[in-house]
Amino acid sequence: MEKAVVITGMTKQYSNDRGIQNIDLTIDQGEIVGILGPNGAGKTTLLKCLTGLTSPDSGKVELFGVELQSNYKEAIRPVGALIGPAVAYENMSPYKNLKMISRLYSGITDKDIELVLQQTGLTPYKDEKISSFSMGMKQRFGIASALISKPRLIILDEPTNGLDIDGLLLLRKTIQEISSYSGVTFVISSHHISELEKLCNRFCFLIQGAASFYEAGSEPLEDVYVKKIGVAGR
Amino acid sequence: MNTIRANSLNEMQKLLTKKSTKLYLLAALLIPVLTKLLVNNLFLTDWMALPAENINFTLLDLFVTIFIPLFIFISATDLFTGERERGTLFQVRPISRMELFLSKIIAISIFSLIVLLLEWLAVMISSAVFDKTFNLTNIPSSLGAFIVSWLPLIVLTAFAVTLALLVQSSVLAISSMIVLYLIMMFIPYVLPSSLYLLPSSYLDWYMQWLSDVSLRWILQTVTYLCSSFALFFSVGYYMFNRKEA
Repeated sequence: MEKAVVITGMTKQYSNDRGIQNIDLTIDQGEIVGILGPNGAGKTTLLKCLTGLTSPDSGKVELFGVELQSNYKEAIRPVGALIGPAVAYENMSPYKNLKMISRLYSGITDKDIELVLQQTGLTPYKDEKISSFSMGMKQRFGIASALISKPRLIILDEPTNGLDIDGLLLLRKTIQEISSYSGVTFVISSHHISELEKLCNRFCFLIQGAASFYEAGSEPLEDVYVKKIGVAGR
Repeated sequence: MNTIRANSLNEMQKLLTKKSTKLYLLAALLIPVLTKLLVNNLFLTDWMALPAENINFTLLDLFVTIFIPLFIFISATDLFTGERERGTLFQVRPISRMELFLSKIIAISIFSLIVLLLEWLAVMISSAVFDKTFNLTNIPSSLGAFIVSWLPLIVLTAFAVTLALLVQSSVLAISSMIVLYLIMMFIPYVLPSSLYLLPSSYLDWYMQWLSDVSLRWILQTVTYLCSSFALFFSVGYYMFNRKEA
């Protein structure tokens, strides 16, 4: 099976001693991997290093066999990501924002934009300025901007932040549909453990910057989390 | 190349949605027309009795030394410092840092050219309507003057971008740009020998093109402007490339 992500010996330390240390992680094409850990454990740092938004101090990232550091454009082309707050130009509509993103890829049509807006429930608001959106609607736009390029790997950092129940259900349905029909790989970081449990087939626990793994099984994820954090928690 | 073109279009679209950009485009059209209207209909002083062409170049001077630099400062602050503040500067997209940096500079430069050309168009139309001495043969030289004015403005763009990347807040960025620009404009009055070392001194270099053009002087100036651009561009890109999201 093709490897979607291969991280080798990745370390990123900040001046406040937070960060990640010597992470090795391999994710197969089609997997849905959940990243769990307490606040400050390094989840966002890991995802930022994985997408080139931050340079690791050491280590290597390969996305579909292409090294990220030396060939950023090619490596990142099949990746869609929502990391932190949704990146949007707020004095423009979601449609115009997505149109701008689509210019950086080939083969994204207006129909694709309409489809993504539909998938995220933004069709009725597609011509409204994003500045008038609630936090949840901005988050929906963030998810739409991660999906627009028809990526093979989707990285979502706290995608459920600010989402209402309808948005949460829509997100779950979209991830399940995309994963089952297109075999897209997902890496999702979230504090909503029950949501991750419903979606993911493998989990990566980050505790004090180090990673440990768990395959989805019969034991409730919450119990696994408590055991791991209880043993090595902050 | 396609990525640079696509992202330059994106950056221009972002600038165009800003009220300040629309205001500048409108001002480029209205200021020359209103000035001509006032000069021709309301005033009869000696200064206003200057030949029409002098008024045209006074207008160009006003734009290249005040209006467009201010537009460049606002745009550079918005596309760099502002985007960094809003968290939109770096995204997970197939575009390299160099392409992103270059396309932002291209977008600002193209808009400053558009403002210049709109102003030229407004000057020519208002001259044709209001000036009795308007002569079609002046069109090529005036268009040339407006176009050559673009080169020092590109250098000023690279200077503004470098400053925008040096500071963390938009307010500090725009105020430091304006203060430094004013200092650069006034230094030659105190230290006349510094005149040729400051990029701001070349904003009105179009005047040299209108008089007896010395090829040597043009080559020297173009080389100096290109070197200044290369210096600001390199320092700016170095800082841009080191930034993390």
